[in-house]
Amino acid sequence: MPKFATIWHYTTHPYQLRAMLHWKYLRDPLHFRNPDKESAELKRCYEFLEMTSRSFAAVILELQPEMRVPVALFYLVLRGLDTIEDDMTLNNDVKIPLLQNFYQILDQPGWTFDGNAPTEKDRQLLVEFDVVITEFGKLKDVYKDVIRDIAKQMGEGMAETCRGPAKNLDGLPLIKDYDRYCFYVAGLVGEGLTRLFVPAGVANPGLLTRPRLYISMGLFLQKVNIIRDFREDLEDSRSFYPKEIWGKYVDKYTDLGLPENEEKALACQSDMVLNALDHADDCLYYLAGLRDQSVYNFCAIPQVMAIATLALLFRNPEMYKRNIKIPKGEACELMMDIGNLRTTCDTFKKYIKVIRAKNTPKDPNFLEVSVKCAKIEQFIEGIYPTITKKQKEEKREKELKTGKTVYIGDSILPKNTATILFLITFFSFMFVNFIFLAAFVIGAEFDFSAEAWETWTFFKMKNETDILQDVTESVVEAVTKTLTHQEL
Amino acid sequence: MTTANQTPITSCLVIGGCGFLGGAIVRSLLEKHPNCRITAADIRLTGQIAHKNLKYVTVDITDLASISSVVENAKAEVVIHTASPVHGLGKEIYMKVNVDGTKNVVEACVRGGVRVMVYTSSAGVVFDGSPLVNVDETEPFPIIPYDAYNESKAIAETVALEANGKGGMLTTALRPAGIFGPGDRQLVPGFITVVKNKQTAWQLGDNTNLFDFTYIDNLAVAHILAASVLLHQHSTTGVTDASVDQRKHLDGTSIFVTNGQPVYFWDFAKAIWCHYGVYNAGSIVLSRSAGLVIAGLAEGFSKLMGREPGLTRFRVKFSCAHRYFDIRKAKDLLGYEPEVSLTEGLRRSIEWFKAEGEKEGK
Repeated sequence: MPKFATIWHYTTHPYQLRAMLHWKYLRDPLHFRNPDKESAELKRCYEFLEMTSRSFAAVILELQPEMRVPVALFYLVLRGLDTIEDDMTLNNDVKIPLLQNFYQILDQPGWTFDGNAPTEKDRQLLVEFDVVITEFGKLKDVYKDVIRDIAKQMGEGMAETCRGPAKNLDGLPLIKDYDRYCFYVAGLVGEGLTRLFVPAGVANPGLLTRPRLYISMGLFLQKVNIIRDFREDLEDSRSFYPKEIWGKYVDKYTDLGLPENEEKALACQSDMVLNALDHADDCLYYLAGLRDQSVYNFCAIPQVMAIATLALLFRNPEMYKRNIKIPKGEACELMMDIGNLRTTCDTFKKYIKVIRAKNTPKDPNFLEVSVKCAKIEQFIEGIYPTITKKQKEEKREKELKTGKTVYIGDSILPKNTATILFLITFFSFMFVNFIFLAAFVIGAEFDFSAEAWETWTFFKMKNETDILQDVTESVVEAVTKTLTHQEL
Repeated sequence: MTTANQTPITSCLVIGGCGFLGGAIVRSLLEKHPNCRITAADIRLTGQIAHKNLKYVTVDITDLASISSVVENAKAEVVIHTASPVHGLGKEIYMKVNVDGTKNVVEACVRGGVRVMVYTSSAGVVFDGSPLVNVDETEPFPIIPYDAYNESKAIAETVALEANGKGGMLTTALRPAGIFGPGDRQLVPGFITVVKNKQTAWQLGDNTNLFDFTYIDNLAVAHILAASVLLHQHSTTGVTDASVDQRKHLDGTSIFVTNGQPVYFWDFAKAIWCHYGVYNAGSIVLSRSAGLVIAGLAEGFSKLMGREPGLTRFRVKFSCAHRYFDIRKAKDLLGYEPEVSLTEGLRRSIEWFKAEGEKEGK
């Protein structure tokens, strides 16, 4: 049985319920897999994909065929690296060479690794890593080069972190270090994907010349995850919040979780959100450079999930107590509405509104958050102006003719489907009311006696004439009178 | 701090040099171009700074003889013209000071062999009451000007820009929006009055409209950047042909300058008020249309009572409409990056106002 809170959520958010049902039962994926043509190894790779990440698997498997295998393998290779880095039971003497040489392992058929702790959740992937290597060998050289290069850089970055000071609960010292860490684990993924997309012709080559954009794609996602995972990481005795930020609010990192520090913790949280929001407009800019719908969906879905999560986290004390997530229905709604850059921009705007609604002058970052939200809105305005050139020209023409200022304002018609549905219902209801009232006025009697219930005849006319005809006539008369102002 | 396309300024005349903006430009020049010989001219000399490179003179720009002699004596390669009367005066005075005054300044500069003239225009020159949404320099002047002030600024800007190329002189016009900072008598004090009148509970409109503001020191820097970019151009390529896209060159064109951080109007207000201990501002939201009706009544009532109305229809429309600009041209051509953020600028302003309030209290 679902919890009462869940039922209540979907009663008040029918759109999400609808999206969830659609996503599950009514949706056609953009591209289908063809399992008959897949080798046994590739099938196993896809199984690993689904095991390691449900959310990523869905979008990867729907990629267009040219991109599907390279992206899936790229993802598994990085997962492999991550599984080694993550395992605290591995000795640095084993771990560091493994991380640094991982890119070479990709060209060693038959390589597997069973040294991970049994508790490591993706250990099986490395146990059977030879299937990944086999499929990697079949890729086009351009894709192989990219995956190898990124694996090399990421392995190097991870090794550096391992050699650094032991992980403690101070988090990373400076925002610079935080950005650097996020670059190695996520920014590089953005780089790799872009380098896969461009040769395949599914992204504008200009994206390669703007590292800031693809790095932001990764950093935005990573930072949202880091903020959200406060509690989870704390329980694993890890922290990634930069001291440069949390140090402004509390003396000790663990103090953030204490109830008496709630206001300080919220301020720290809004500072972290502010830092993440910095990447939002870059992400939209990047998405504008994608040329294939399936690739667009693949890139945009995680981004809208991230902005939705960020809106959920912002000034939310629950985050310090447990791991909070956006409701499944909301996630489905986001995936269903992904469409194109315009709808993605609308989604961003929607969540900017959510953030703004929670922003308060009590927060020391109040104005900065407001400015950042506005910056994203201004960026979107630059792509999709709300006042068109044509509107402006028409305004000037009219002014030249009439000599009076013409004001450009918003239209009074509602755009929201729900509002329109409500209005239709409301007016239908009023219409029925009106009919009854008219019937009453011209002399119909309402009879709710026991006999009436038996025969279901609640209305009677005093003078036995056809009530329906009478009502219709009087309504028609009233309407025509009003419309033609006969009474005036 | 000068980069490739900028030349250090060696001599500069700042007209309106004792004003809010002019004073800031003088201070900025002393800091960024320490070898620059500065003449600060104003109709009344107040708040003078003692410095070996700085000299103060009185000037009346509505008098051609007066401004001519000041320009001649200053022997400056750069003239920055910031003088303009405050809002709320009559049309006559605006036309006289802004339009005729600027004509006199231009004539004096051309005759005096000035190389670069920078004119302080206003973002209001494109305002006619309709919202200004992410507007850039391609936006034309409105067909019907909003009021006498903005109309006179638009004409004066045209005068300044048409002087580009005369006698080899290069001109540009900066269009700032919502200038504030320590010493500002209009913007921030207006918001502080609301706190003093305990009217912060009210919010007009849904607070979705973006507004641009400009911290005074950033604007001062932008003027100096414009001057040194044009100075460089004067000694290299000279006047740009008028057929070149106006977004690609500075001389003979206008340029919007703001803090580059548009913000929701009431958020800016709330950010000021929380410095005065008000954290729950805007708890009563009055829609724009309701606000207009009430303001109309208030205006009528005040007229009967012979008082200044607190709420006017202009204020309602003003605080509910977008008014922000695209300043990419300033960033690209001037290398302008606002050094003082909105938050920091506000902090400095409020600190100053509080100190001023204490002085007055004593």
